[in-house]
This record gives sequence, C-alpha cells and structure tokens, in this order.
Amino acid sequence: MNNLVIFLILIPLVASSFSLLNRYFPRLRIAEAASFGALILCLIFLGLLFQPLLKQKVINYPVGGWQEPLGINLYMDGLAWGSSLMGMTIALLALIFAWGEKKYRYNFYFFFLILIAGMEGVILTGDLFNMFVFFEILSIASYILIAYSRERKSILASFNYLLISSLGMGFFLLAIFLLYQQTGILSLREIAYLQLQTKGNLPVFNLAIISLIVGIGVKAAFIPLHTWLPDAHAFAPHPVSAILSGVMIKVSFLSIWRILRLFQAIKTQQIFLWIGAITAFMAVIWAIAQDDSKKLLAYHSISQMGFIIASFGVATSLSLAASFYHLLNHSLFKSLLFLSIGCVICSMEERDIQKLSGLGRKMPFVFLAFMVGALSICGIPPFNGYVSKNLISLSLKEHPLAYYLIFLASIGTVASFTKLSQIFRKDRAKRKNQGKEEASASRLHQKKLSRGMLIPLGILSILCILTGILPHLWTAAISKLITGEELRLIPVVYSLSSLTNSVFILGLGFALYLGIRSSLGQRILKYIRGLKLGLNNSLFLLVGGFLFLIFLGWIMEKGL
Amino acid sequence: MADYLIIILFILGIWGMIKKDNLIKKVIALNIFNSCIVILFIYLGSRTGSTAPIMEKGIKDVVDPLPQALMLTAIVIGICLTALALSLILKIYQHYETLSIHRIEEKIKQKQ
Repeated sequence: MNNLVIFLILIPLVASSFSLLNRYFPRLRIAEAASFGALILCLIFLGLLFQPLLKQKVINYPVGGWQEPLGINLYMDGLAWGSSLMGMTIALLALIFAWGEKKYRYNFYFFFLILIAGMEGVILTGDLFNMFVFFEILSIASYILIAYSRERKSILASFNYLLISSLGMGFFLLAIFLLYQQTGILSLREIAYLQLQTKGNLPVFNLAIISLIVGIGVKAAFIPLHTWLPDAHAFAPHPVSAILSGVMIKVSFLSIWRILRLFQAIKTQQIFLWIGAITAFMAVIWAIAQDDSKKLLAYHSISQMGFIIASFGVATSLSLAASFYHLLNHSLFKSLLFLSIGCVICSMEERDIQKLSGLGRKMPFVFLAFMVGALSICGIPPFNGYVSKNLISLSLKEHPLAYYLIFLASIGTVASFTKLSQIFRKDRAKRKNQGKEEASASRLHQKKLSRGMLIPLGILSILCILTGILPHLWTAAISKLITGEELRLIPVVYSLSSLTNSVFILGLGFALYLGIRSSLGQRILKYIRGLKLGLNNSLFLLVGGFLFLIFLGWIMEKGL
Repeated sequence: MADYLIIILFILGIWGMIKKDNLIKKVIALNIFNSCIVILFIYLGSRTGSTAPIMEKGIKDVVDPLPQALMLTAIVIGICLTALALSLILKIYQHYETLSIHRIEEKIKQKQ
C-alpha cells in the first residue's frame, strides 16, 4: 500500500510524455485524455491512501529501497495529503476549463502535467536537494505556461519571474551547502534530529534557515519578495492563473511550514506574524488601485497569503488549523474568481474594469459564481471565507497591532471587490460617458461560453458553500490532519459578536468604496498605481530582504 | 585563495543582476552567481580527501563524491534556465525592439 505514494509523482510524468504523442495523431486528442486520466487516477490513489494514513500517521516510502540517511525518502503525512488533495482538485477543475476554452495545443497539457508532477514532488519529498530539483521542475513549467500566450506583457512577466526566482533558488542552494557542511546529510528529518540533539553551531544553522526561507519565499510571494506575482498571474492564461494562485504559492508556503516545524525554529516562525500582517495590509492597498481585473485578483492573492502567513506565525494549534483552513478556502475561492473573470475576459475580450458594465444580465451564471467567490473572500456568512477569517482573527487576539492590520486588510478587501463587481452592475454614469457606440460594439464582441468553462465554476461554488457550513466539523478534521491531535476547544464561529464584526467590516468597506470613487480618491489611486517596482529594484529588494532577515535573526539571537 | 574567489564571484553575480541594464548581461550574471555556488560545493568536497572516489582495494582518503553529483544536477538545471531565459529574451527583443530593461519599462509606462 505504501508504494502508492510514488505513483502520485510518476503518473503525471508518464502521462505528460504520452500527451506529446498527440503531435503525431492530432485527431485523437490524446493530450486531453492523458491529463484527465492522470489526474483522476491520482485522486483515486489519494483516496486509497486515506485509510492507511489514519492508521500510520506518516506513510514513508524509500525510493529505490535505500533507507533514510543515504537514500531519498518520500513522506506522506496529513499536511501533504491535504495539500495534494487540494492541488489535484483545483488542477482537475482548471483542466476542464482549459478543455472548454478549446484554444490550447498539446504542449499546454504537457507542461501542465509537468507542473503537477513538480508540485507533488515538492509536497512529498523529504530530501533537501530533491526538493530543489522539484522546485526547479515546477518553476520551469510555470515560466513556460505564463508565457504561453506569447503576448508581449506575458513574456516580460515570465522573464522577470525567471530572474527573481532563479536568484532565490541560488540562495536555496547556498542553504543546502551550509546544512550539508554542518551535518553531512541531506535528509530533512535527519538534519533536524541531529541539530536538535547536538545544538551545534547555531549561527550557521540560522543563516541556512533564512536562506531557505528567502529561496522558497520568492514563490510563496510575501512582501518583500512578491514583486513578480501581479504581472505573472495577471497575464498568464486563465486556467494557469487559477492553478498558480490557487495551488502553487500555497505549496511553496507549505514547504516553509514543514521546514520550520521540523527544525522547531519558533523564533523564526514568530517573524512570520509580522511579515504576514504587513503583507496583508500593503497588498490590499495596491489591489484597490488596480484597474485591470486580473491584476486586482493577483494582488489579492498576495494579501490573502498574508492572512495565512500571519496566522501561521502565532503558532498555537488553533492558529495553525485556522491557517490551513484559510489556505484551503483561499485556493477554492481564488480559483473560482480567476476562472469566472476568465469567462468574462474570454467573451468580452476586454479586461479593464472601467470599460465593462452591465454583464450581470448577459451572463447570469458567471455572475452568480463570481458573487459566491467575492462574498467568500470578503468574509460574509455562510460562505467559507467568513469561517476561516474569523478563526484567524480569534487566534490573533493576543497581538493587537497585527489584529488591526488584518482588520484593515479585510475592509480593503470588501472595498476592492465592490469595485470589481461593478463590471456586472448597470452603471448609469458610465453609460452616459461611453455613449451608444461602445455598448453596441461590446454586444458584437460577446462570444458564447462553452459548457466546459461553466462546469468548474459550478463545482467550485458548491465547494465554497460546503466548506462554509458546519465549521466545527471542518476545523476538527483539519486540526487532526495537520497536528495529529484533537482541538480541545473549538470556538463558536457563528456568534453574535463575530456577526456584528463582519457587518462592521462590510459597512466600513462600502464607505471606503464610496471614498475611492470621489475625485480625490481617484487621484490617490492613480498615484499608487504609478508606484511600481522595476526588475532591478525587485532583485535589489530580494537581496535586501535576505540581509534584513539575517539582521533580524541576529538581533533575536542576542535577545535585544 | 578559493575562499576569496568564491566571495568575489558571489558579489559580482548579485551586482551584475541588479545593476546591469542589458537583459543578456543579467542572464550572464545569473550564471556567474550559480557557478559561484557550484565552486563552493566542489571546494567543500575537495577538502575531505585527496584521491578520486573509485572504491577499490587499498584506496583510502577519498573525496566526498556527493557534492559533485549534486552539482552535476545543478549545472544541468542552470543550462535549462539559461536556454529558456535566452529564448524569452529573443521574444522580448522582437516585441519591444530593445534589450535595455529601462527602455522596456519606459515603453510600458508610456502605453498606459
């Protein structure tokens, strides 16, 4: 039964080589069949692994039969199981969407499957260098997928991402060097075990952890390593943005999670509380300022990652459960939002918020799906975002400053999604300005959406509602999955005080929306939109962030 | 000696990536940065012994073979990245007709 673990990586890889056969048999649609088959098979295998996982807690598979310090081991624990299930589900739905869009060739499916294989590898591997290799597989596939449309902006975004991420991976290699020099092994668990036993040479060990965080952090996209994300996620093809925002940044963050928990680096984990709170707050300001609909969503991915990271930094069992819960929820509603906005862009061929209006009547189903996603991300009951955001704010109660930063970020989220939803509303002021010409032109443009594009929207909406009701059950299950122990006290989420709190956030959000529609607000937003970091500055920020983290670690070590 | 070389290459690579205006020079700087880390690993391996790690009778004091194996993989990945980056640069040049990152970013700003 334990051998099933390796198949989760092997199946997508083998299927990807099958999908290349499509070149010689163009009529057979082998690529689509191979990718659907691979993903469904992986989901079945995950289901089969669930029972043994409950019994054994950790499923361990030595690759090639070589045991731990010498060989590479694959570990499947609750965290890995949950994140693979999330990744596979979102990937399958994104694939259905891509199939419905009908404009991708076989090489798209090839790289898509390689991306999934790399993702699974990063989740499962227990060896540091193997993790590096899988990260590179994952990122090379994603560079190509981002540039797939070959438009000028997407190619530049892909190149920027490549350069920033490669510099980050250089730091990752440096960390591998430091750890190998200290211990002479590469297995994560053995290194952690040795380090906790001997407590040898702490400064070098801390430097290694910080290099690891910076290397992976480029992909997890928290401030100041986020600069590549808005362009890359906004100009990628729609299913690719869904999987990048929904799964890839989370998988990278989960490997930081795994490393910090294994090495028991509590002090480093506490830094993440502040990184997360600042990320959530700063990114939402830029999100409100955007006029490009997909860029707005991309900035929100950074902001929501801030929520997840801040909750992770508190490091109690409740906050870890809240963090993972929000991570799952975010992957559901963010891919729903990306796919529904993708539907709008596909049919109208226009992505500027200011130029679109009144689409609610033209595509009611997309409108409904978008509203489910938007209400989830704003934290309105009974959708899933409400539950996990409340759990996060409950777990942040002891850190008032971070709590208020997160609170402000929630207000900003409501305001920016009110702004985004105006593409579905009838806007009288806009009608007058544009005149009749454009209205008729947009009607001409409108293409019909195929059924394959709408099915994933429906499934994701249902999942968003399902994870929102019965929060007790979900929280208990997630806590058992990731920490292995029952939560002693599950807080009541649907209480009067949290309901009034969310009404308060909603009211302030609307007020902020009205504020940004005034002429002064528009001028401020235009100024913020202009503040964009170039490639040189983002690379500088990466190195600066690395040095700053080292400095912070040094201060914390001295106990100042 | 090798210590100084590694430090110089490290700083040179990062400086080149941040400061150079030309995209191809940035990619070359990335390669310098990568090869600095490759040299670091090989240097580490070379300090453990003196003979090649071919395990026959009577051979002792061998070099640690693992860093070399790891670096082969890292070099291959580096080559893939360089090839991909150069092909992206080719496409960027066709679209923007310049290789200077400043001018490209200015062109994007003017369009908006």
